[in-house]
Amino acid sequence: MRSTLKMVVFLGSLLGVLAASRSLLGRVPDRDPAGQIRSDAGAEDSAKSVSPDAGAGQMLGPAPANTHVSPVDAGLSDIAAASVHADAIPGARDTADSILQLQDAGEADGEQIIQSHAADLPVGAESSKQGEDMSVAATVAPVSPKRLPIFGLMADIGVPDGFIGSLAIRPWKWLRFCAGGGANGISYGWRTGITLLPFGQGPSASLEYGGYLDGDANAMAKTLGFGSSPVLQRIGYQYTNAHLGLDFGSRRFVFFLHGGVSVLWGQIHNLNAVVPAPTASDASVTGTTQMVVPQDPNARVVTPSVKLGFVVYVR
Amino acid sequence: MALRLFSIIPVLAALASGCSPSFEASLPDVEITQHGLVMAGAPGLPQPGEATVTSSFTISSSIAAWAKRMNSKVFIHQATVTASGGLPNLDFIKSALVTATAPSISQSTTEIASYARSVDAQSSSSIEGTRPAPIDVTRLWSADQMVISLRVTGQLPEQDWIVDVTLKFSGDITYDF
Repeated sequence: MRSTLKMVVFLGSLLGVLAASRSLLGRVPDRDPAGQIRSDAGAEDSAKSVSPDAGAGQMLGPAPANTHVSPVDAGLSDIAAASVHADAIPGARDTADSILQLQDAGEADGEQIIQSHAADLPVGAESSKQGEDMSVAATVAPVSPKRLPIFGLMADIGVPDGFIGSLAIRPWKWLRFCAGGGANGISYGWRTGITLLPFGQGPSASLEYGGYLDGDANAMAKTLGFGSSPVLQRIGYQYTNAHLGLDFGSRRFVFFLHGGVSVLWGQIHNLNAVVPAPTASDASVTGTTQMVVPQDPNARVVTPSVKLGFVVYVR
Repeated sequence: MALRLFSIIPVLAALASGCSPSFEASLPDVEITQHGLVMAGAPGLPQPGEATVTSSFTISSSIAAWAKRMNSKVFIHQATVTASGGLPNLDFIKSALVTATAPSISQSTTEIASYARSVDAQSSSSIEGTRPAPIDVTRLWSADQMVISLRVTGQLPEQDWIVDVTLKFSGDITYDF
């Protein structure tokens, strides 16, 4: 009952910390692969020059020549090709360079094309080869926001988790699932979990559930300086973690440090081997007194826990 | 930004420090058996009839020290008396009562189990005394010594006879570090 109460208090604190950290940190802007910070306001601004509604083949209206058409701002970081007839468009050289640089920085997994055909602009999409109101017309494929890699490999170490290697899935930047297996120095186990990152990085909250098969813990006990015991011959447990933490990095590599409370439960085996041997009773009785534990006790431990690890997103 | 992020660490540390480790264990079945409890015979009765004898034994800290140091809740569910020492059966017992007391705490006794032989009871080498609900003996258990007494009534043998007495316990142990 006390443990349940502790968990409730902890989860309440967890929500409180998240709420506080939201006001503390403010809005954390997204980052594009080129390192540019993209805010919601920036996206709105970019929509003024390159409309996100522009479908494939749709020609955009005139835009000032000195307006840099930023594929990133428009969600066009995945550039497959870009051709700019810079010679024909005075002032468009900067735009072309910017696009080509972004093409190098971006990932070529889309088929979004930006073309500046100042010389071939159709009627209605005027482009003045001379003058200050030079227009750049862009033909864009369907616009999609920059997608973070979804699948990753995660490794972490902690107590009571042990060493765990997992497959991580990040369907959204604020949510991460993981499932994997590992070892704790006694036996092999598994773990699955969910992590919420309300800002995509920074503060996080995790809930995890795992377990370890029975194993002989005497070797570890000796390593740690304790004596051996028959009770340690079969040590296995299941556990849950409720963690708060910090996650650093947001795109390819994420390092995290999580801490909180864990509840472990399992059975204690071979207890009969350690209960006192039959003893002589008081002087008035000739017999002996013996204690036997026919059924293995159930045990539960509530303890602070911590783990650190990293995630490498590969796809 | 980094400073702001790291400002959360003290909050995390405070949360972690507020959760002290605790251990809980549920022991659904623990048996303590007194082997070879000698019951006095009832010789020289003027005429055949029922007699009552009482014998006791002590559960001391030496056998339960590992549990006594913890914050335990201890219950007794059942008491079983089994014939021993060549005694064929316990059919001569009409009634039995098992009580517990802790002289260092109180002289009052707690009834653990009782038995009354029914008319159509079959011959058996053991008798079981139960209670509708488990008896909380936590206070008695925490004492250095808990004295268990067995009182039997019936047409008892003239010679001393021997039984084994088994008490079935359950318990919950909690320990805060």
